[in-house]
Amino acid sequence: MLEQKLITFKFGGITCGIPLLDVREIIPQMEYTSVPLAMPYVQGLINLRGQIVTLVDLTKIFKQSSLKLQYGKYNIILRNEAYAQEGLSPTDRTGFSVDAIGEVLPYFESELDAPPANLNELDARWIEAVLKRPEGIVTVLNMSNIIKEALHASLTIV
Amino acid sequence: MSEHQDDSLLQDFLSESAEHLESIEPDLLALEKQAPQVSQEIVNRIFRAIHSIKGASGFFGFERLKQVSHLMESVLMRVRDGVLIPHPHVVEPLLMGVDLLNVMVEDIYRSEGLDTAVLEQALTHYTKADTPYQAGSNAVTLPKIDSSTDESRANRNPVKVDNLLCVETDCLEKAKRIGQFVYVATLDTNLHLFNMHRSYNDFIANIESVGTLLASTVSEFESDAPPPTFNVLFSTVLEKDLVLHALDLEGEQLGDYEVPIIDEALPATQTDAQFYNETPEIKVEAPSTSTTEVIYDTLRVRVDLLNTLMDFAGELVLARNQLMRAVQSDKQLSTKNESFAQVLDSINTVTNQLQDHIMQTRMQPIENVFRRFPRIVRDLSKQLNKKIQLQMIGQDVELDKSILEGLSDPLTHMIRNACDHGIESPEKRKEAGKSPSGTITLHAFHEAGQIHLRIEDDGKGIDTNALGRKAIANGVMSQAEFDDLSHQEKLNLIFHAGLSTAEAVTDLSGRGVGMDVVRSNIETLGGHVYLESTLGKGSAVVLQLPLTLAIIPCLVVGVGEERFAVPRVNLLELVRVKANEVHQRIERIGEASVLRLRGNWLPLVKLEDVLNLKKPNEARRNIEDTRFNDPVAIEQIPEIRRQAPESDYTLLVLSVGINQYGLIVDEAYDIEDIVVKPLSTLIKNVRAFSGTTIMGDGSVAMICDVVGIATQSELDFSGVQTEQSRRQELIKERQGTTNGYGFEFDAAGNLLSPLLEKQSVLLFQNHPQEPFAVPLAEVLRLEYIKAKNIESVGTREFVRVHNETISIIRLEQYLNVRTSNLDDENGYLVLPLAGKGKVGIWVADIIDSLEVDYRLDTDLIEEPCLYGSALIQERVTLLLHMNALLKRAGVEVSPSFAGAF
Repeated sequence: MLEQKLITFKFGGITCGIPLLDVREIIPQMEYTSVPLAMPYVQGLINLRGQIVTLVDLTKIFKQSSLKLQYGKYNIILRNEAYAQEGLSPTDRTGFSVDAIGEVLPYFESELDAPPANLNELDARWIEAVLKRPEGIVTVLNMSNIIKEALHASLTIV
Repeated sequence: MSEHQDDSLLQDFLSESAEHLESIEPDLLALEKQAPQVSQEIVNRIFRAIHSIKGASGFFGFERLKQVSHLMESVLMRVRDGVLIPHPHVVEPLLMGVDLLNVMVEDIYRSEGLDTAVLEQALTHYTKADTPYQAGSNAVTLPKIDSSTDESRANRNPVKVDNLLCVETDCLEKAKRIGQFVYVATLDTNLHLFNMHRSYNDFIANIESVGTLLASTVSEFESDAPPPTFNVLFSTVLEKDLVLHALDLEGEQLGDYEVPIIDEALPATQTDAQFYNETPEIKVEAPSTSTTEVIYDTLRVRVDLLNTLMDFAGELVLARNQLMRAVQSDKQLSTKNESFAQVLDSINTVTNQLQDHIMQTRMQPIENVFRRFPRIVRDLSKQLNKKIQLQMIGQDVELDKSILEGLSDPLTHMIRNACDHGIESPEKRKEAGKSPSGTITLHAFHEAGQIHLRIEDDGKGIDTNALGRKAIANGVMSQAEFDDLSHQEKLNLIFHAGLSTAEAVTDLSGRGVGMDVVRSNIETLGGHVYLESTLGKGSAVVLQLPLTLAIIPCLVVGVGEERFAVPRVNLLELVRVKANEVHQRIERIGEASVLRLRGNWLPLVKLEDVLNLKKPNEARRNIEDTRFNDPVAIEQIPEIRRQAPESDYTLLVLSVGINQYGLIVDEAYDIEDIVVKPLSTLIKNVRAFSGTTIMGDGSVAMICDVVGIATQSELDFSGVQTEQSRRQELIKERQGTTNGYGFEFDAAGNLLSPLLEKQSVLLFQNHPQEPFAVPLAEVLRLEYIKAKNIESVGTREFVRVHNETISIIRLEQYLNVRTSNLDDENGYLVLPLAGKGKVGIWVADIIDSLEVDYRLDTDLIEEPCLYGSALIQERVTLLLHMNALLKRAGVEVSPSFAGAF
């Protein structure tokens, strides 16, 4: 079985992870321009070396008032190619803000557990699995569903 | 060969074929035009293009494609040989063939399934030897030109070409004359025939399919068993590499054959061009530009690669801007180190040039779009039984690829329109005294940094009354409204969806969906459409287009902390409304605020409201200070407050089609060239924006979509227009009740609203504290008089000027105002127009005559002979009611000058 890698990060006090290969890069939080009238999921736009990246606001997607971005110190920029199936075009650079960056975490698929119903505040739709580690539990986010949700919401004409 | 390679080869073939086909069409049309003369150069060009398609399609195994192109080639061969004259009925199947090939190339895998029987039949008809030309009505009999293969008529001057090859000189001569190349092939029978599984006869048939066999060292009876090596002499229009490809030969087996000097008049080294001019048999128009045209080396590059380059160039520009800014702010850095400044300069220059050139890579000549129109016009003129000529000027004007692509449909539509509705039938044209054939001119040119495209026809023009009837019938407007429109506005009705002047709907046009689509298409490209038309003379549509969509000039505006870019093409003007004028100039009609701008009502939209930007701390901003309305109190407000720019309104007057609206912003900065970046899918749904951009400081800004904002804010232009015309009606009705000041009064004499248009007034005073104003329009003239010349009769005073007696009115006699200084030796007489030069008002001093806008205050001063007061030049000025004054003074006022009361 192949060893895979997660990148972990802190978001609103919980440790989350997404597949390392889905990440294009991680940058310190940039000042963003908010987009008036856009759906609430859109946090704003940043200029990443001339490319415009749309930041998706995870807090808004999670719809959990208790789960809030605390520091917003880093932006994780996703690799569009990884979400082409969800409908993200190669020019739609997308990212999101997180509080802190953790580590690159190797794991085997067999180590992943289904999310327990009472795990935390997150809607099960946004959780792919959990990974138990001595340091704590890593919630593996289902970015695919998150991107789908954001794209779906953007269909309403404003 | 790997699958991938195969695929890329196929792609190359397809794109090349498409290019060839594109070039064939205009050539065929040219050929048809020149008939019965045949330009060998053109035929050969078509022939080569068709042949390369045929060759490659054989290679890829597309039999249908090969078959059609083969037949076309055969027809062309006969045209080239002068056996077939390219009359329209011959060119028609060829053009159809081009169309068919186009369809095939577009969807190559389904090309095999296409039914080509009809066309093949039509083409085959012309390939048969016994139909040199169809005996049609317009077919011209031309002396048959000998085919060089016709052995029986061979010339008597055999020339030894080679040790073994014998050939008749006239064959060579003929071949050279019609622009063919002559080649000698040296072959090894085993190597080149048997190893490739072909017989000698196959090989000769192969040669005959691309050219003409002139001589061979293999005699006829040897053909079944040719000698080990043999030579073949043949002529063809194909270039060497194509011949090699066609015959499946290697380079060294094929040699050029220098045609020996046979005749003084025909030196073999002559260029084709010279040759044509001296050829007596077939008269050919002097070859056009093709011989003088400089041909640059080109390279196919993927568009996405160019786009990436563009992005990087844009990025570089931004980085350069930031660098320059950083250095400028750090004076030390730039002054201390001179070489540093130089480096910076060169980076600056190189960046600019780089950007320019990369932009150019996306530029394509407009010819790429124009190219198809000759064919369309040709087909349409046949279909409509009209004679139409198409003139194209400025095909080399270059436009951004994306704009060019968006231009093709609207242009086609307009060309069709011009053919169908514009140009009349030849009979009608004759009746109108025009030449029977109509002309459509397509003209592209640069003007003021934009591309202008003019589509002009000399047809019947647009009947605005017919448009009007249609519009009224469709309930777009009433007859009265229509009558009020200017000629231009009437013409613009054509952009209204559902209106067409065509009496009959044809399959070409006339359904009335079209011009509105054209306009919206052009506007999406950031352009504008204008119409010009004279009934009976013709009409013209003018398109104004930006050079590129990637970099556009925008006005950067600020709302609160945010900045937005507004495309300059939509921006008509910037208006600043001073805080103290806000409530005078901006009115409310129902829910909407409007600004009165030069007699027009401009609906207003606040950008911060449209975009839902909350500005909690600025609640008091833009709120009018009521003290400004009080002329006395205003004196006490410190100057600085009155002028405070942040309480002013900054308004962008924006155009949306024929409508305009005002966009209120906090701040208008500079106009900058910005690099447009598309909206991410996640925010594409926001109609108010059309794109994003990166500002000089590296931050992201949204580009406003002027149309989107109007839709977003639910601007209803029809309401504003109705209100505007209603008010205009009112003003018309009250013509008698408005006066020279431009104030409106209702029937009862109450002031309705101060019309704040610029007024020319004469300012004068008797006492330094009491300035008066009177509209210049009510003044006949001024007279300078000396006090001693005034004569008095009882209480009345007179003065004689130019032998006319003028009676003098002194304001203090009729008004509660201060007297002028009686000691004044000199003064002026203001002669009111209504007094017909018989009365004059004595004034001590003329202050000025100027254009001002002001607000009338009726409450402050109430006097029968005054309208009231107004603030002019920071002074409370009394506005004189001239007619009331004259009446009071017992002067007979002519009815036409009857005042408001």
